[in-house]
Amino acid sequence: MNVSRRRFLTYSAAASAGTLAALGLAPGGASAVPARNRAARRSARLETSPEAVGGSLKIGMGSVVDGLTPFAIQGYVWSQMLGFVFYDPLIKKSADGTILPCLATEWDTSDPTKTILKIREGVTFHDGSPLTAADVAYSIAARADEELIASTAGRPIMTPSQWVSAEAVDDYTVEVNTTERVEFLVNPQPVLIVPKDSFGTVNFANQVLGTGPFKLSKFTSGTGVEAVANDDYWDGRPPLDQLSFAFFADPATASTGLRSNQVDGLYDVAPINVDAVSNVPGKVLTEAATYAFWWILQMGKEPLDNPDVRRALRHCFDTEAMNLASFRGRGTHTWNPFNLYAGNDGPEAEVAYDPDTARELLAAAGASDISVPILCIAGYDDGIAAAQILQQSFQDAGVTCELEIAEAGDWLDRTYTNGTWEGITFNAGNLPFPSKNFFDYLVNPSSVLSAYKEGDVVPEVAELYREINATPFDDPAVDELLAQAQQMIVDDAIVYFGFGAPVSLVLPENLDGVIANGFGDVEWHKASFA
Amino acid sequence: MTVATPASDQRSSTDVDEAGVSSSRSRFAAIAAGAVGQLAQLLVVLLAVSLLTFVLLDALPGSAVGARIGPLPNFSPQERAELTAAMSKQLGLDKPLPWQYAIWVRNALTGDLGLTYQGIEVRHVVGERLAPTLQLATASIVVSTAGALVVSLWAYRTRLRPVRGVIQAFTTFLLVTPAFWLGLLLVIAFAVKIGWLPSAGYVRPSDGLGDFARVLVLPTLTLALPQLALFFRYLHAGLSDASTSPFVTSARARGLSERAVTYRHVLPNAVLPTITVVGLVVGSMISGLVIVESVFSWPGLGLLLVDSVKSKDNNTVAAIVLITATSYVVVAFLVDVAYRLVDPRTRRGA
Repeated sequence: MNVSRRRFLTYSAAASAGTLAALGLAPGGASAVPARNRAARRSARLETSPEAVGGSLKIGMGSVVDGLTPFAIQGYVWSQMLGFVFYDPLIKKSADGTILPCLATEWDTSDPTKTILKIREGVTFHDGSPLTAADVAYSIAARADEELIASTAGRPIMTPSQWVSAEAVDDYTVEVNTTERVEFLVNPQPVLIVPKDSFGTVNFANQVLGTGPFKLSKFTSGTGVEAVANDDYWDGRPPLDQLSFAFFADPATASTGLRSNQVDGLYDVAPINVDAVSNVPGKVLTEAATYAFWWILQMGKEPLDNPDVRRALRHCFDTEAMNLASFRGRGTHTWNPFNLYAGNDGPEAEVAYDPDTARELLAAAGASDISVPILCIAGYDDGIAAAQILQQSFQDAGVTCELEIAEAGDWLDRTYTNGTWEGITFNAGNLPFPSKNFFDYLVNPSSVLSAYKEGDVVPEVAELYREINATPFDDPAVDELLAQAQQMIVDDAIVYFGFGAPVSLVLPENLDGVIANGFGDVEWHKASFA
Repeated sequence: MTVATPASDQRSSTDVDEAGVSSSRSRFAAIAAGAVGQLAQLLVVLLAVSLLTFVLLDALPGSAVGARIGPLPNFSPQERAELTAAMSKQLGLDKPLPWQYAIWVRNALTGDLGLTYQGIEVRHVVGERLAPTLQLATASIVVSTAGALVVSLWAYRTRLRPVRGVIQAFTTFLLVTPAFWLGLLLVIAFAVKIGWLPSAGYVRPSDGLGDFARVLVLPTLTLALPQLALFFRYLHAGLSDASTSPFVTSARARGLSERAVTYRHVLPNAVLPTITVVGLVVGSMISGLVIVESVFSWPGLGLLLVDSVKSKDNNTVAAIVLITATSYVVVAFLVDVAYRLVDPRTRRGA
């Protein structure tokens, strides 16, 4: 066949157009996050103008969400952002750590094996059906009962042997029975309430049936989610008409999304990425949470079972260099993590960075020839940078130190599931501070309880751990116990705390009413444009 | 003097009537035989790949149970051990690996690829992500092959040596440029500075063809430009080699115009090695998709693969690997078919 150049180009263009048209006609799903054209962007600007009431808001999230199931809480971003958009938990935390009622208006935890909950009346699900105690009992069981967990793939809030039952005593009273005290109400990954027996009838992977302030409008797996205001929300209709979230897999993409007006704001901007999103016209940075990183010590094995060794090694922390490397100097360092939070003025350790001092103290403790490996999590560049500095300091102090960077799954298994790590392991996140769970985060149970030896490994810490866990979260005695924990952290160096740094929320400057409690939880139902 | 007969001449010299019918039959017979062989090959490959994937995923550190339980610290070692045992039983991970594999194969044969670690059906999640990946992959391969064809023909036919030099330098730049960097450059230029295109995201075609086309442009270019450069290299070299072949000299001696020589004799012969390369690129495209989909938050299989590996979601990883292996074998078959259509010498032996 003789093909002229003109014909060839014609064919090529036709082929390209045909392919694109074919792609365009490919079957699609029910939802999408539309990219905005210029007109839409102008319209969005109008909507966010000071005169506008209601309007829409689109927030970029630094995480990709594949499904909306409320049973398998998908990390903090899901529970703290999307979870509270569509669903309500039983209780919430205020900025000062106070437990606030949400769907549970009252709770009685005086009996260690029985929790009685009073459920809020007049609440309806998005389909109009009323919330009852039976729904709450089912939602708790979906995260605790072995059989229900198996079918819903729920993330457990207690072990099979701790679980007994959750029963509706009347329409608005639930009784949860356990074999021992289980603080499921203050679990950092909360129970979200769904209708009774809804699993199987509702496809929770891409549908929502909650009581939250917004109803699902569209969900595109991996791309984004759109929500509209729930007119019947028990706490009043949200001022925003529409709230949507775009998922960004990469921080650089998120910042360009903000700069190109594809999104109006960003959630979960790490301190190391703040520079990329600061000084964007019309946007302000708000502190959404305190991102903390700290080092868990393996006190169940030598040499960190020796308090003198633990105290000596504190002199290896070049906190100034770590702050610069990890947080561009924006971090706050303290040896007592309680002091990171407003209103806390607990004891503080005075430790100067000096590897020579560390070497002398180690020699005095009879531990001149020790090895302390460091385990880090792949992807946490702030922690890896700090770990590299720490490794050098350890070596300067004569301590053999291997730095290992493990994939998140491996790290999770070694640190928590199996507790097999040696030396110190990096950990980071938004601490549920200052609730009682905090102590668990800082001191891994497997390093102080009987994971390796007969009996408690570090009896005094184990005793405190057990006592804190046995005390109800709303008992004033918790404060006293946490004060003891602070003293122990300072005196015996049972955790190496690193830094706290602000996690930023970038918002339009004329948006008010966003509730960020400082622990990562963000609520949008009071948000409105000025 | 014996002159080598080009592929195009052999095809054009075929007489109609019986010879033509016979040729068509033999061509289709060869393709059909190839299809049967490829199908058998596909089954063997899928079995081997699934087995290998299963073994490798099992060998990787981390566990699906750990991911399911999460980092909740408020479990004692004993409580965590109890939970781990209970969830291992639920997920069937308490059984020996060969047994787990056998169950997985049996379920996969009925279309049941299991659940993700979040309890969502794998076929549902993978199905949702397949369309965006196919759209992006198809668009990029169309743009890169068509672009390479145009640019290489232009470079071949132009008499301006500096133009050739510029094209070669530019394609070299594209070849050595990391995809994520190229993607960010395009985003900064077209999304942030000029504001013509969205920086990231995805729109289903059913929600607006215009919006779909706009979000498709930047990821397509990021994926297609390095491919275009690679195809150009092969095509340009092929054109140069073919242009000095004896049959081209013969064609010119017969008085054919340069355009006819190029399109009827040079191009069909030059395109053969490029077909192989296109096949290889399409087969290995998943690696490029992983990067491009991450940069542009494109909800395809590449992004899902990254997330699944991170969260030790073995069922999802296995499904994606199977899809990738299948696509590789299918593309190899299509390349084979294309070869048979373009080059009669490959049909002769069939």
